[in-house]
Amino acid sequence: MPQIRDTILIVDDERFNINVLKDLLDADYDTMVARNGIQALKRVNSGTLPDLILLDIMMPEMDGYEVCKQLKESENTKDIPVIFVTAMSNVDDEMKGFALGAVDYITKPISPPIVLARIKTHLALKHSLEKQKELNQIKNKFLGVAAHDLRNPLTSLQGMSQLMLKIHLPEEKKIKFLQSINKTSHQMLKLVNDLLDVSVIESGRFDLRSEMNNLSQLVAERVELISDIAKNKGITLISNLADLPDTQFDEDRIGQVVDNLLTNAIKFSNSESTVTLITREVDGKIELSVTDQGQGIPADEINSLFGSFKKTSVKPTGGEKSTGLGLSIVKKIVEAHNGNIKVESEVGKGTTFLVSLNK
Amino acid sequence: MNKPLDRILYAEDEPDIQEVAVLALETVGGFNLKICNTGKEAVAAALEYKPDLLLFDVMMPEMDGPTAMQEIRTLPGMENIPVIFMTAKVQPEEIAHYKNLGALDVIPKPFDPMNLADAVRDCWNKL
Repeated sequence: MPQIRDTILIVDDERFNINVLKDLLDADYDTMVARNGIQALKRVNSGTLPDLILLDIMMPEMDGYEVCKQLKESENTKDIPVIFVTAMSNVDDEMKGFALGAVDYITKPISPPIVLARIKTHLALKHSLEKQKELNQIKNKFLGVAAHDLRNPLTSLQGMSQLMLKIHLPEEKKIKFLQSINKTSHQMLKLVNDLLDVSVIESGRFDLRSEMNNLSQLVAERVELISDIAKNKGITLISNLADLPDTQFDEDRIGQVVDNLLTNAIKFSNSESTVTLITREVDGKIELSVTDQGQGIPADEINSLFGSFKKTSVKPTGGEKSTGLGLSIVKKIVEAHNGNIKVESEVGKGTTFLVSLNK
Repeated sequence: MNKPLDRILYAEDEPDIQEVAVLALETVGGFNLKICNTGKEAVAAALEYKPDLLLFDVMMPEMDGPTAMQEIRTLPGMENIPVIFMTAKVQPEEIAHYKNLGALDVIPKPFDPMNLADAVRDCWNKL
């Protein structure tokens, strides 16, 4: 991917100084030029924001200190790093520059390699801060959604237990409440586990323990474990599993993929329907497909299907819960194995998820 | 002073939460309730039930709480019916959003079933 070039604004009233800096920077950066302070403020406030500003101090009409002060006062421009480039070299001048919010102070005549090195450092810092800010926003949004999704089940846990403690309830009602509390606590545990998985995956500390395993064998085991859930909903599971060679993968994590795809298929299928699992070897890859005859996913929702907390408009058929995290975890696990996952779906007919792993 | 609050049209799609709130409002609070599972059911029931107040979950299938509120307020005699939302979306800007839509108040989930009726009555008495 081509690197996006950073833009540097050079502010100086002397043509010679501008040319020296421009010649130095043009190879690696896009440059903009302003011949005085007022022009500099005009340029940053209309159109492209520069990534960094090289600012002379002694200029007619408005000096560099005033330009810096105004830049730092505006929400729009306060995060642009400013480096003073000036012939004024006593400590007081320099301290005044830093006090106004400049990140660095370079004295003329400049040393080209030092100027380039300092610019590089301050741009790296700026981009790292931007990245942190963005990640922090994502994290806060994520925490907000997670808190919301925990509040709902907590409402029934707290409410039911509080009523059992405080008012007289018939015995059968108490038992029903206990069953609900038990069921809800399992759902909350699933959400908490999924959240932990997402946090491990997102933090990059996602270690796969890959060993030689057999995908068909793993699928058969998982189908066996999940078959009761399908049976209770009146859904038939059909496995068509090829005689596959052993391949390298993390058994627990790929097991999680199989579980998620299979329970999803059951969750969104009606009774009297069929869920089909097929494994096969194609073009040097091993594949697992899970096909249901459920409600299907509208075309405009397919793209967001694998995002965190992306629940579609399609609802589970038996009142089951969904965390909106399962498929995002599945995709991350498959990609960590250098595999890929595809989905084909038709509303009213059903959905197929196809996982393809390298041999 | 208003007449005492009596008839509440209540909509919530989550069966467990609905059961808790119904006990809290009927058994603990002594209100008359009409219980609906979606916003759509609430709109269909409003004219006949003639509620004093609407108590709605926000996120429900088919039709959410705010939309149901808007539809009910187009019905004759219900233009100004007070609405309280019950929601797990309780960040300050979310609460402000529901009040801007015209809600009398917002009761956050989880709620204490022993205090829910009092909380609803307090909102009513502020009118």
